[in-house]
Amino acid sequence: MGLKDVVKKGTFVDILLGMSVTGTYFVTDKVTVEYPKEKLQTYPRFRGVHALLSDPDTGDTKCVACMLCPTVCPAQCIRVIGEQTPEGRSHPAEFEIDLSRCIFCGLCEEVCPVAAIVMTKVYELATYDKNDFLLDKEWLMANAVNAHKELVALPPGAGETRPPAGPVKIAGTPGAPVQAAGLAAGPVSPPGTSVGVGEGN
Amino acid sequence: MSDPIAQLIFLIIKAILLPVIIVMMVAFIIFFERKFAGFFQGRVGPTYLGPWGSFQSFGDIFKLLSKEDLIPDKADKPVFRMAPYLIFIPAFLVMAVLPFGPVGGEANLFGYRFDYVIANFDAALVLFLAVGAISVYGVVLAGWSSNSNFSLIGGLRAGAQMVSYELAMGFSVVGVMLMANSMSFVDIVNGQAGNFWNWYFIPQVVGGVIFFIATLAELNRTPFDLAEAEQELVAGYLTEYSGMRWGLFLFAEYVNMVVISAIMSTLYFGGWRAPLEVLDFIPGPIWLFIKIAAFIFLYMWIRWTIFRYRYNQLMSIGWKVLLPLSILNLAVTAVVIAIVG
Amino acid sequence: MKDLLQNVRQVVMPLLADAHGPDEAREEAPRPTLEELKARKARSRQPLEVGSEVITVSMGPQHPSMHGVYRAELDLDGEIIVDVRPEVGNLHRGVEKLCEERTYHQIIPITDRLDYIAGFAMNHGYCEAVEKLMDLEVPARGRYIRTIASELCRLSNHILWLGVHIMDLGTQTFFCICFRDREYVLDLLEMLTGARLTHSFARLGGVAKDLPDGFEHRCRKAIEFLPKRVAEYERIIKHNRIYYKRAKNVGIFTSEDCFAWRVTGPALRAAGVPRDLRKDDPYAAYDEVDFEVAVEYNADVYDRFLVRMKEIRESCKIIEQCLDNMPAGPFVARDITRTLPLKSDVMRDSASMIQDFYQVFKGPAVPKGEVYRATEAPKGEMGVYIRSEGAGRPARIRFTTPSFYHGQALPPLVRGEMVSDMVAIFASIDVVLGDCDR
Repeated sequence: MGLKDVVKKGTFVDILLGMSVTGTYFVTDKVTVEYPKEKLQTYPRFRGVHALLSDPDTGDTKCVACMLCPTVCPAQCIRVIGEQTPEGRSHPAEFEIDLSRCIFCGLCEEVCPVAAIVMTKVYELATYDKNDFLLDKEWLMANAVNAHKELVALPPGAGETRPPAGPVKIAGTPGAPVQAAGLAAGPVSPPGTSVGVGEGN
Repeated sequence: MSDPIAQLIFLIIKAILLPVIIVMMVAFIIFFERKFAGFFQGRVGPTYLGPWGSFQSFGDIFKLLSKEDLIPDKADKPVFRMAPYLIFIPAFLVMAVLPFGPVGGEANLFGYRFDYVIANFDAALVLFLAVGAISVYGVVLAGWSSNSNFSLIGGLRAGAQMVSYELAMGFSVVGVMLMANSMSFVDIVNGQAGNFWNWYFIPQVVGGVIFFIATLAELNRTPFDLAEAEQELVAGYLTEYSGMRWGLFLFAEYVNMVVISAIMSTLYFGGWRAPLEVLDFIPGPIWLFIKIAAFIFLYMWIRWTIFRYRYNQLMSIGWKVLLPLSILNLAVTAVVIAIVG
Repeated sequence: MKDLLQNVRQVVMPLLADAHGPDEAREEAPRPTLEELKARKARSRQPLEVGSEVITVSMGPQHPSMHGVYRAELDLDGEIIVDVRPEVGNLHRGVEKLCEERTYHQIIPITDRLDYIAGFAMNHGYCEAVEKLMDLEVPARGRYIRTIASELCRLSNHILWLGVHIMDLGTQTFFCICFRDREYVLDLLEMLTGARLTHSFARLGGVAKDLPDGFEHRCRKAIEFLPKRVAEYERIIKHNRIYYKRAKNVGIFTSEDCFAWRVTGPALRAAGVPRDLRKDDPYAAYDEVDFEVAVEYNADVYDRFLVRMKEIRESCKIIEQCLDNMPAGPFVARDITRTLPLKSDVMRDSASMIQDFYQVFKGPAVPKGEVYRATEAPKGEMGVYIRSEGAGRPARIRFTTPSFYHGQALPPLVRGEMVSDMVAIFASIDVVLGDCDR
């Protein structure tokens, strides 16, 4: 060990270098997003909880009970019972998703031939009652307000909005504990769209 | 009233006030540890309770007090209960002999002399070394009385580590003793009168660094915190303690940290003296407080940056590196003092 | 004044970077031979005394060491490990049996959950195997997007590995720092696939969706600054005296041991064997990009760290090359009998709608036969064996995952080491229980 090494070891140069890195973190910006006061905006492709889109003319759901989504679901969490409406159209009498089985893979959204079932941006699904995990047709139709993708017949990739330049913080529900927005309270109305501090990457 | 009665009243006030101040400091130090841990890691620490999260410790205390007091069935109950106290009571004893302001001199409070020390003891340094050794008992007995494999291993490891590093600590403070020509803390601080270049950390730089490293081992802090290594032995000697008993161990660790920071600043950094004589108008206790805070920050910074040694490497550092260096330091100091006179 | 500062920086920064010179010294050091490595291993082991009292401690399924529910029952003599009896299977979910009841398309989200840290790498490996069985060709753009996603998963895995490894050694700071850096990668993956951890992005014949707008810009920014972060980690760890003491000559897995216990991936490359399936048996776009295989020769924990840091840098290079040379064209093969149709086609075209129904209800047309295909997952070699009877559902799938073999290799190689070393070695071998137990 030469003299230079002895001096470096004695003056703890390597440890001081390490401490300099932590020291810089001490004084620079912190990366914490203080949930629930601040939240991050999800990306357009985010796979949250489902919603059933409705036809604006008739007010009924677009779903034709073709049984593709219950069949493709790897977790077998969708239950659909179809019936014929008086007008001769097929529609679901019951459409139930069991959230405790769903793995949020997005295959149901991908195979739906009429773009009736979509995955929204809602991820705050905590609740105190397990029965709330059975989402019925009314809940899913009401959740359509949170749908954030356009899945009508468009060229691939074109229907999605441009993603933000970095993680975008949006206003949350300050001070309120998370259970205020449970499933029993109904579909969450979209949070205020005032964009907070945008953290460029 | 006469002087002895005044001194008695002052003594009672000091004896009550000092532990209370230290306990309050510890509560906030625990909060700062978590806050600074967050800052060093690039995140904010606790923010919820109180402004800037500062009442977090009190929230923790209430939570711990409300927990069930579990003592394992086969544990040795009296020893189990007594172990935490053995760790921090010696620390309070040492605080009794530490000066936090000028001692002696003329009357400065209502016409009576107020000494900024509880007990001006002649052999304070030896007292510090002696009662420091009692903390080892607390750790080993905690591990042993829990009647569990993990705790036993942790307690024995911690005990062996603390004993080995005490030797290095002892030898390095003898250098300071030689320079000040006395074992009393009051004399040591008085010997550092002047500006900051008169403080002992300059001539005793090797001793100071050795003392600092040895105190890291005494406090069971990283990089020497093998006794409570979470990833390896769950929590070592603390495993079976829950609720407020565990809180007592935490409290003991931080009281030890405060006291050792105070001792470090007294021995090497001038104690209650100001770094420049022009700044003398700021009272002594404030300077001591600033120095204690600086050392505690340094302990925290090291804890949150460095990872721990393996056990045998730790012991070999204590015996094969620190002890010879401290004896060498002592020898060199003695020779230089003999020559210079 | 600014000039003065610039000059000072130019003088001081190289000094700091070179604060420990040993890089050149290490590169010129002679490579140890197998016998030398075995001798070093024998030296670091402690002699096991016969007849001393042995305590049995269970590093039980729950422990703060963050490797999942791996149980190791240790027989300890003081600090030295006399015997280790591992117990895996606490996370066994019957994945291979589940796959037998599902079509080939439905299995893709299930493979996500194998090595849940690098979900896309598992999807990719599975799709490569099925495509080999079906003899389906993936278009160029699809192959490039798969490469980018696989390399992003490799980045995510290695950064997480670093955080967990250093946390096992003592400090939690690193864990938080590494997770913060991993956020950038997970953000990119969320933008691309829709989820941070369970990607389900590969499809038979390509990928599910094209690159979104703005992805290329974000991705370039991320891979430009991640190597700088790696340099920062190295600044703290690589020459740290404590890391030297805890990682050098600790946990030596010689190449012989690796072959005997089927240890692959970074551990094998740290033992001097330059085996990387991306070069030896290329798939996706790996034969069209230029990268180096990270090899070290000392086979200890320190070298595994170096190998992974180098792999992070190489991954950034691969992603950059893929983005530069991204071909235009379809991102998924269009094959009536074997792939899922594009959604835009389904909504316009009745033939595609029929294809949709057929693929969902009956599954793809896979010929009868069997196939084995191994890919380079971030942890090692992941192999998929499929036996098909000609139906849309496989008759038998077998995933040979790296963590299973690594978890099995650990006990014979830590007998005689100390407990603290065992934690370090276990962390360096990179075992994740989802991968191990399936």
